Amino acid sequence: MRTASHYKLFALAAIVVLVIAFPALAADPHAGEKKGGLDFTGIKRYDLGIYTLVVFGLLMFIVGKFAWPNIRVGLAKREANIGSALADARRDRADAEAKLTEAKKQLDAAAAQAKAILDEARRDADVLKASEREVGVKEAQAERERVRRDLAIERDAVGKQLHQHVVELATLIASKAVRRQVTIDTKSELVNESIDELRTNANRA
Amino acid sequence: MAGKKAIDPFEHVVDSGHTPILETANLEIHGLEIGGIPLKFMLLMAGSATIVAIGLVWLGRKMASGEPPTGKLWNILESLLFFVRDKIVRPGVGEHDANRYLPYLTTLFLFIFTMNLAGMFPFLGSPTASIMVTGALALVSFVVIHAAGLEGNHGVGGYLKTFIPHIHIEGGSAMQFLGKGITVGIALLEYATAFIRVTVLAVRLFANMLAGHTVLFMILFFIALVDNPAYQIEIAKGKDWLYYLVMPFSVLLVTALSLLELFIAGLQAFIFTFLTAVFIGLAKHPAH
Repeated sequence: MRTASHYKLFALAAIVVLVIAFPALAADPHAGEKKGGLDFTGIKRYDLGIYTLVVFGLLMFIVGKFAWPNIRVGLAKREANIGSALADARRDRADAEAKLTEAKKQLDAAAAQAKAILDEARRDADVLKASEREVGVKEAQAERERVRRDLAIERDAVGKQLHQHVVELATLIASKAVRRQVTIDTKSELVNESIDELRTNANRA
Repeated sequence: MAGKKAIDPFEHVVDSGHTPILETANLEIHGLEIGGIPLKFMLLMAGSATIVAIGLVWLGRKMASGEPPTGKLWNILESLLFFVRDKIVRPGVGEHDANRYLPYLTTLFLFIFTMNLAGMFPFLGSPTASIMVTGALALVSFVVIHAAGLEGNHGVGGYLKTFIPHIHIEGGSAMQFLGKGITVGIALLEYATAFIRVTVLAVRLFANMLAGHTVLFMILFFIALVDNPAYQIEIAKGKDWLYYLVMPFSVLLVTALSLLELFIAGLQAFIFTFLTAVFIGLAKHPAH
């Protein structure tokens, strides 16, 4: 490292010496002449041209000696690091892809299992629905029968009640008509006779 | 007009032994010359070379570790290095030979860029505003370009043949003769182009830097033209208000153009280096 520092110091010193000494070495013999024309371009400054070559040459030498070897080493290390990082990344990617494939398989299996469960549930639901419907139909049938029976009982009761009212009414009318008191049996007999007579008449008609 | 100073628009741009700091106070730096040779450009060039050398050596020491860059300076220098490699050298020279020419082209780019930037500092100047500076750099490029051509085409004979076009003309002897004539003509033009290319490299860089800084000077000099008795133009005499009109205009315009000049400093360094890289690539792998 100390040698490299010495080289750098030497190089810097060389530049400084060059800066100071070069103009004297490359003195322009026409320096005192009157200026004009294309002088503003520096076209006659051969000293500056040579100086440029020397400075650029020195610069190339210094950076070629002290900078580029290190830069090359650094770039090579960087490339190696990037290469290994790339290889790691590729390996990780392959692992991730394998895991992804496995996860997809598991997901597919889970999906198939879920579908089977759903299908089974649907089938059970259908069976349950059918049995429930059957029970419902039976219950409805029984309810209908019960209602029908109740209706029949009610109708019979209402009929008997109506019949009773009609008998009482007829008895009342008859008693009023004949001014005599008859018993319930007599009234019923009279009504039944009247009904039979009406039926007979209706059949004849 | 008696006592009036002549205006030299290039005085502040070209190489000189004295540098005016504040003209109205006669503040100047004198004696920057040896044996009548101005030293300003030489000093600036040496300074630019030193900055580039120190920067690259420092960058090399940092990069040698192989660690990723940390800090602004390291990142900036590495960005410049990779910019030259990825945007100039590889596209111009080709992937295969890129690493070989990377040191030369990177150093060239940074050297020109630093010299161009030197002109953006007040009282300094840009050494690339001299045709001899750009000419010398173009001469180096000429040598590198044709050395690459000689190396890539099996010597002088092989390389010289690459300049000769392959023209196939069908027909009689007159047409064949015409074809040979065209071939010779184009070959001569190609040989001339080998020199013209680098000449244009030198002239483009020099002209851009000289013209850019001259324009900046002249726009700022408008203030002296209306206010400084030594340079005052006739129509400005007795019109003091013109100063208040021209001064802000000049300063604002120079500020805007300085930003443009800053961009041009980088652009011209890029163009010089990129074309050198392209010419190296063309010389090494000529189109058949």
